[in-house]
Amino acid sequence: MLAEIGLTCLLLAFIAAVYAVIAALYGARKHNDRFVNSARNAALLTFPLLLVSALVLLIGLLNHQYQIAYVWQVSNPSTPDFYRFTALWGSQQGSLLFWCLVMSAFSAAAITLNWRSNHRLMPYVIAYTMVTLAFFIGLSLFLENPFARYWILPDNSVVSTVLIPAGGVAPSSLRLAETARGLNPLLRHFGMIIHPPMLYLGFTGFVIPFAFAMAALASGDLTTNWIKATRRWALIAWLFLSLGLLLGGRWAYDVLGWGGYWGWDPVENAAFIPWLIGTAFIHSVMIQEKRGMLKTWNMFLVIGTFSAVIFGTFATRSGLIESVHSFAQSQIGTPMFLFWAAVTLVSVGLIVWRWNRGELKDEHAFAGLLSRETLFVLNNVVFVALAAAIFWGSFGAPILSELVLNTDITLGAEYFNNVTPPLFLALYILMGIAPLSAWGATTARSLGRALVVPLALTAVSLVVIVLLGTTSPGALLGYGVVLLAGFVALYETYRGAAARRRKTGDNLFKAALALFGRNRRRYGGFIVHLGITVIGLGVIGSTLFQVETQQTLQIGESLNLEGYTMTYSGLEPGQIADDGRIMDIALVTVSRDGRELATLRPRHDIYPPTAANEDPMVMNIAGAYSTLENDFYVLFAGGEGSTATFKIYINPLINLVWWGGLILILGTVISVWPTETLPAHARERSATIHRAGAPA
Amino acid sequence: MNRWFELPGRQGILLPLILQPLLLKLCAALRRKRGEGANGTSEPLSPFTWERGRTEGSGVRGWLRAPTAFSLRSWRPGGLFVLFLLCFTMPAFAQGALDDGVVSADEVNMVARRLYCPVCPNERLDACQTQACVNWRSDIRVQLEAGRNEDEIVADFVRRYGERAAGVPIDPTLNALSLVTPYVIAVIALAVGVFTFLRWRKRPTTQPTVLTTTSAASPPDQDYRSALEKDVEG
Repeated sequence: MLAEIGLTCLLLAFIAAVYAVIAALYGARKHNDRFVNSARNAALLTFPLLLVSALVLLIGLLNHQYQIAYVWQVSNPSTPDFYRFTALWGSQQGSLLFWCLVMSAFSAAAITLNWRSNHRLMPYVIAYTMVTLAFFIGLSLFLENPFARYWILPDNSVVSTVLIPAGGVAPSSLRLAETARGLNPLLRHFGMIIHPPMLYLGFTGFVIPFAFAMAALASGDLTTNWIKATRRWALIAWLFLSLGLLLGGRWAYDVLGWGGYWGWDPVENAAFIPWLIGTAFIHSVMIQEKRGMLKTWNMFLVIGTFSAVIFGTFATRSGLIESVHSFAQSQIGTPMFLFWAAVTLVSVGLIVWRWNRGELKDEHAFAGLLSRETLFVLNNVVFVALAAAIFWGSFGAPILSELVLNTDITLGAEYFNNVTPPLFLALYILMGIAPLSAWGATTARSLGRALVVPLALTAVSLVVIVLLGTTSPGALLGYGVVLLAGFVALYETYRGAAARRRKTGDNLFKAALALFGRNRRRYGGFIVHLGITVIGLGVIGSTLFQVETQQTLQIGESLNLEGYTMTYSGLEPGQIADDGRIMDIALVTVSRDGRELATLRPRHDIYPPTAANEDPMVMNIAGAYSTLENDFYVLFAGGEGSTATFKIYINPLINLVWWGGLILILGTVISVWPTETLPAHARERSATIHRAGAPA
Repeated sequence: MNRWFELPGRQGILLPLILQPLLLKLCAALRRKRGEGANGTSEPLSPFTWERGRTEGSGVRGWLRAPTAFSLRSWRPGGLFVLFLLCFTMPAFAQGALDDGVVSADEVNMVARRLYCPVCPNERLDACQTQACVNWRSDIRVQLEAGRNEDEIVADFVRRYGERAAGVPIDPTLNALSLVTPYVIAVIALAVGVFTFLRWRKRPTTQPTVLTTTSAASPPDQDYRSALEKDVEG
């Protein structure tokens, strides 16, 4: 019964989404509000229907309904309730359903909140969001149905089908429970509870700016309305995508056991590419808002971001690429590829059509080489080049090589570490300079003057870094460029607060708070830049100065590494955890200058095979002693008798990556936070004053 | 790799790292001079060929593993020099001794980092935990002990498992295709940016826009001040 309810809701959601598309387009064409309203209602209905569908699956997971094939695949009787909940997105079918739920939530929120203010765009927004949603629900319904159940046929074969087959009998629930597979051990981590939902929120969130952009093209309302309507949505999606990437990095660091957080894996890159293009878009729309420029380019960027989202999803879910992060090979590859190609072609076609009609002309020309808009365009070029280079390394070259030269190649970290650093450096340089320039025009002299203090602070910091022992020119260049961007953000905030303090007589802290209240977007943006600076410092430190060694120790024996002393104290083999995994735990003590700092327990988690033809799965869980200076990160590589082999990494400044992430989140939340809306009479008064005071 | 030269406290490893490859190259040259392994050394190694080489006395000789094969008389020209170098490389051997072999696990991992597991999904060979990868790392150790350098070992893996085994293709065409293309993309992107910028500069403004800051015609400094003023005005 449970599965039937979920299936029915899924089917109804699909019908509602398809109906919404048809009604919205018909209503827009005939200027018939009744149809448009009906389309809105149908679009809003998809959310509760999908919510019920997802809840039903969750209930199935929590109540051990192993006849549902998905529940059998991702859980077993020993799976803790905590992981039963996260198993909702633990495999292809469940995660597709969850994806649909998140997308419908975004769509419903955007349609409701923008209904009055952007009424002209709404029919097309409904059509675009619902086309996308209907496609994904269709995949879930027809190809990867999470409500398929196991049946025993009269010939004793077992099948998994959505509808009850002729003569099919439900298998014994005891037998199903005994053979249930359980959640992939890689997914049994705290990071996996939040990481996938964040990533899905980021991915699906970009459907809103995309739908508004397409609505603007389709309706002919090519003013900045669509940008104003979607600026916050784009930032929210960007925030979630950033969170998803950070949590994914943390999960990799804790669970994958290779001492790092970013391996340039194609699936990681598939999420990073939309982030890069989305970041370019977030910057570029400011030019259109302020100067009425880059209309076509912004359209391309928003399409590029959404296209990268769909392509990334296709690459991860179709079996196109092999990765520890990807889903197993599935039959959704071809339809997803066709959908991606169709969305991209139709969108680009719309842009070309409007462009040919001369409706995407810019209202201003570029005034100077150092104007903020020029520097933003340069920043956009670098972001897009970076996205293209990463796309090439992850997908372009391997696919082309296989298709044309029939050779399977890998482009690993070596490729990305060669290609991306110059582009990242260029980005940080622009991040440092662009906020100091002004819209319209800036002279080199005034820009130079504004740079004096941040440059001086950077120079002082570099001297300190050299005195601390870093002399590598490459590292110093990296630190210098990254620090400059951070100091510019800090200095600009300080300048603003100081100017306000002079004007109002408030103290500096109060002045800074008032400043943030007046322009959250600008100063929230500076905090984001500060977060990116801190992340940059962490990345440089942990990439260039990581030290690793692998050594075998006897019990009681010690090794020294970078000032730390690690002593192997003993092994606790065969510990059995609540979920049935067997743990071999090595005990090591870490000390520095004769002072014991921590006892670490790096371990092997051995998950017994669930089928006779399978091998046990072994996870290598690290033990780490963390400080802001570095992480002492130990992996237990294996042991025999009284000896054990350890792989030890010293990861300098790695915690700055996580702290920088938190700062970035704080800055984005400040930027997104709604500004207090003045009452209508106050708005009118303010507008009158502004008009009177506006320059000619 | 340059960090080995930069980090404090690395001297104990730095010296062996420089000298050990020299030592290994010297021995390989000596073997060539003696006519051993004239084609054997260029023959790609596998556990099978290695065993054959050791047991039949042809092909690659495991001189570090098999001291009985070492004859001071026949190695006289280089032997003393080798002993001299060994004195300097003792720290490396002392460290390596912890890893139950002449070649340390760190040296093995350094090569394995350039390789990808031929059977696992996109996993670097130094990080992969499967038994197959443990065996491949042993294979790297054997090859290092036989005097092969990183490039030769990577080439051997590529010969056996295809280009996908290397982090970057070693075939010159594929390598160029892979590494040059992104720079070409970046140059094209920059050229498009510059071209667009120049075109935009020539283009007259089509219609007036209400600016939130002062117009482009204002003095340049005024723009910046006005923007800041707008942010701080009470």
